[in-house]
Amino acid sequence: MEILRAEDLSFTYKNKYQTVNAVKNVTCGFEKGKAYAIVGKSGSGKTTLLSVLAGLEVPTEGKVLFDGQDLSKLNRDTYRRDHAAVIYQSYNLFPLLTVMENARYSMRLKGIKGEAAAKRAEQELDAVGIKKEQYRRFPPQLSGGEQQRVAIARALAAGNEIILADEPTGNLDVANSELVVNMLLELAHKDGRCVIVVTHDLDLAERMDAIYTMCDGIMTMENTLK
Amino acid sequence: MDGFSIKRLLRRPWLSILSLIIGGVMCYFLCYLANYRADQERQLEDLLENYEIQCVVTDRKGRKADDLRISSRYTDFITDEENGLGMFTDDIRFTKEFAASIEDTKWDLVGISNPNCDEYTDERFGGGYETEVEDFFDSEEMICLMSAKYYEEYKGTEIMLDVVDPYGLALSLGVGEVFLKVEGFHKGSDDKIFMPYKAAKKLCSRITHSISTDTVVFVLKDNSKVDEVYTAAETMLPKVDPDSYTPGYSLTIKDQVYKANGAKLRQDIARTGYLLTLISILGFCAGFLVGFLGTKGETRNYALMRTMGMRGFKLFLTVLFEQQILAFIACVIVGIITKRPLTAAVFFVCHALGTLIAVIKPVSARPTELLRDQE
Repeated sequence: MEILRAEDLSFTYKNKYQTVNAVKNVTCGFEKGKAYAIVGKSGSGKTTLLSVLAGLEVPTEGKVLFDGQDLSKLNRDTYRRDHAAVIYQSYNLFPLLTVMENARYSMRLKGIKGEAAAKRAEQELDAVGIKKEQYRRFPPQLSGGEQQRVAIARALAAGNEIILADEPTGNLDVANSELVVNMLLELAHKDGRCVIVVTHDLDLAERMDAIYTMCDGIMTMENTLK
Repeated sequence: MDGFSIKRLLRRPWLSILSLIIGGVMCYFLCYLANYRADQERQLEDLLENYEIQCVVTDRKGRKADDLRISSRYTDFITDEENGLGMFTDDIRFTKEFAASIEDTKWDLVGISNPNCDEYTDERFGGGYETEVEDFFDSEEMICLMSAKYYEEYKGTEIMLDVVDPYGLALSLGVGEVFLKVEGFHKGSDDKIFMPYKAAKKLCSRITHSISTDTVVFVLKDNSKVDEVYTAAETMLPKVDPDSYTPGYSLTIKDQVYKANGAKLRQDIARTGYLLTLISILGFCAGFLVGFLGTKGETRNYALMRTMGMRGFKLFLTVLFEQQILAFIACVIVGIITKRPLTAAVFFVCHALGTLIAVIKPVSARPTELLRDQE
């Protein structure tokens, strides 16, 4: 069953010098329990599509349906807090908060504090392979791979059903990339979440359940591999 | 508010200390100035209400203030509330001096209208007196105060003095024998005897039809009416004219110090007012600086908070709280120490407004910039 759907979605960037149709009439659906890849060259509109699906932008035309409801009629802040979590290429952890505090941050926004938050954060950090002695470290004291895992733990701790990842392995070495991809696939297949990954890496893309290809803002192909 | 705000503050100690110090020092300076201004205003109020502007009757040239031999026409004018200066005057001091003797011992017999007339009876100058007669100086009775030395010998008795008007045209025409009952003592010179002025006026009437007074001093009731006093006094007691050769008397109002002090206080108050405004503006600038430095490099973090679902307004409040909490603490402490909570609050508001302006742009960062930066 589709948890997220883009229907005839378009997005245009406008400034006083130019108008760019970044996404043009894209229609696609995303189901829970599956992992999706959106591939395309740089400037193809895949990140823009991701930002619209994440509720960070309002589509110029068309709509995004979350669980059958038009996202434009929902509070986008609430949608991002309760249903969609974003993982970035450059980790984007809070530098002044420790690993544990970063992992707990998304829960804090939901009002989950104290022992319950600590326990859940610990679970997720453990699931991504972060050791207890690293909990009190600050992000600059971790490796790239560790930081990305903490970012994944933070996204997971929120319990959101949709995980959107923008080039999650872009800054990682092969070993860490493999680790992260495996985690994302586990989230989809074992946790039943909907994972959407934007990537240049075709090898990564081929491990997903389905691939959407973007070119010049248009979704040109859909491959369902599994 | 975001519970991690305090942790973030503590993990940027230098910025936090700077914020605390800037806020605290400027707030303290503002409160100090406010206290100073309040003190100046109190002094001005005190000056306006309590300063005694002394008015002295002198000769026309303004050279002599005693031995004036002023007739009752002038003294009545000074006390007349309807047609004279009575409505403006307070603490009127008349004196009349005689030369007196008991056998071969010489005395100065002085009639005074209140104890402030002479330093020997005025406690403000170390003098004083004691008597059991109520309203001694307002009495018309033939009573007197001797020096403490002679009081023990003469107390309660009547002394007989041979009195002469020392400056009269006919020195040989004495006032005659005067009997005065000793009713108290003064703390002054041994050879002085004080009697009530009204009783002294009666003695004068023995030698002259026009009662004469030697000195006239009074204090203004209302310091704001100096010009009105000059106008009212013009006919009988015009202003001093050093080149005048006409007989008569003048009124000198000693308001120079009053005016100078008042002007200085008003100037100080105005100047302090400008400084207070300037510091408030600087407080705004300091708040802006604190907000600017505090949010420098934090734009991505704020955008990240927004992508995680924090509402825009909540983010704004969280950032404002982070940037202002230390300044707030500093202002509360300063307000308590200086006992000027309202002034400290005003400073805090100016400071917070500056910070508010500074944080608007960083917290308005679009979350999508985070994604786009990576492409």
